[in-house]
Amino acid sequence: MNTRTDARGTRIHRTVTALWTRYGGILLWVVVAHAVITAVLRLIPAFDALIVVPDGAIDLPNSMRSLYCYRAP
Amino acid sequence: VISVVAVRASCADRLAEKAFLFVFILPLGATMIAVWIGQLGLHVTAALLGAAWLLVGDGSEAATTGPSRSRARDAAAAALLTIALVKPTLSLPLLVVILIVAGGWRPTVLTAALYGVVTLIAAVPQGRSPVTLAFEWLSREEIMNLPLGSVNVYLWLYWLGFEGSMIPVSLIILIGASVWAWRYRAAPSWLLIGIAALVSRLWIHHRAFDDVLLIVPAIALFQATKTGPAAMTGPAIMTAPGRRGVATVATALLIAAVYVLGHAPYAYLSGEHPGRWLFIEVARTIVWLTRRAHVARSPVPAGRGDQCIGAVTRAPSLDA
Repeated sequence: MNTRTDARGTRIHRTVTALWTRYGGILLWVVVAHAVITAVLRLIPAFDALIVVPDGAIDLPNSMRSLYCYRAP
Repeated sequence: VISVVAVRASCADRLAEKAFLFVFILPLGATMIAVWIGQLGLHVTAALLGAAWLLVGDGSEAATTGPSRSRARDAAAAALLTIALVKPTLSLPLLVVILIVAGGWRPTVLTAALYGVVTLIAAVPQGRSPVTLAFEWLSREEIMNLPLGSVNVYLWLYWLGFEGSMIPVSLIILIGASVWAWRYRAAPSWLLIGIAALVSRLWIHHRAFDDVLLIVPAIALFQATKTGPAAMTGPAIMTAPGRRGVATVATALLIAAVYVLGHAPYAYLSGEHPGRWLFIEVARTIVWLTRRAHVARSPVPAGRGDQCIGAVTRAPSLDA
């Protein structure tokens, strides 16, 4: 077993665990908020206007005008 | 069903972790497309996860000992697995591994019997034998639009010019995954199920909307971080404290990588811009295979007992 590698691994783990313990909860809640907003935008048709680039606004093929949404405008 | 099983089976204990697992599937590009074009990936995934939860629970000893399960539980799981077989291209390898991990003959026999009855009921009004219908279905599979596929063996064979060997390769993968799961059936249930889900996603032609199945390895990886290094046994080289720490950090990063890549706009994943977006295909492939190799080579918790109960006491945060 490589002791130096083992020590480095332990140090990485300790650092990440400390960071996670301190900021992990906040990070997860930010991700959850983003996930909920994204799901609403992507799954509810009423929000299409917010995520589909209007026809003619930019010269893009149909498949590219909807960066966040499947439906072609 | 998908969200609830994700929370329960992942051993998440903090509220933020439970919320993350609960919403994991909802914003993914694959979910959106499956909903909007009516693909069955979400239904199949829900049925498979429901069956897996009924048969193995969180992977603890009591749930995974075949004979200790009630007949009603096995029957309900068999019904769900039969529903999942509505799309065998997505469900078959995962279904086989779930049955192997679950143990006991009853779920397997019930699933086969139910599927046989349902197939006969469907075949009789059409006046053709189930075998004929199966071959017709397979011939339909051969005319699939391979260039629109996403991260699967058929697409890679198509790129390499080996279209003729697709079905044999799929069968080899299916048999190989089954033998592998049988060989390591004593390993933690959700690790085997998670890897089988990746095999199900890779073994045959799939488009990007079938990425909904990736929730399964995400559950397995999350459980791996929660049941964590304290319970790991195995070769000394893999269980040294430093290696275990790096393995846990790598596991968490892989969950994050797959979650982020799952948000890529569908146009980038659909094969409509294969040259321009090849790097996303390559990145996703590397992440998936890394996950598979990482999970397969990770040291395993000692036995299956008390997965989540142990996780609460052993790992209040990421894995501390």
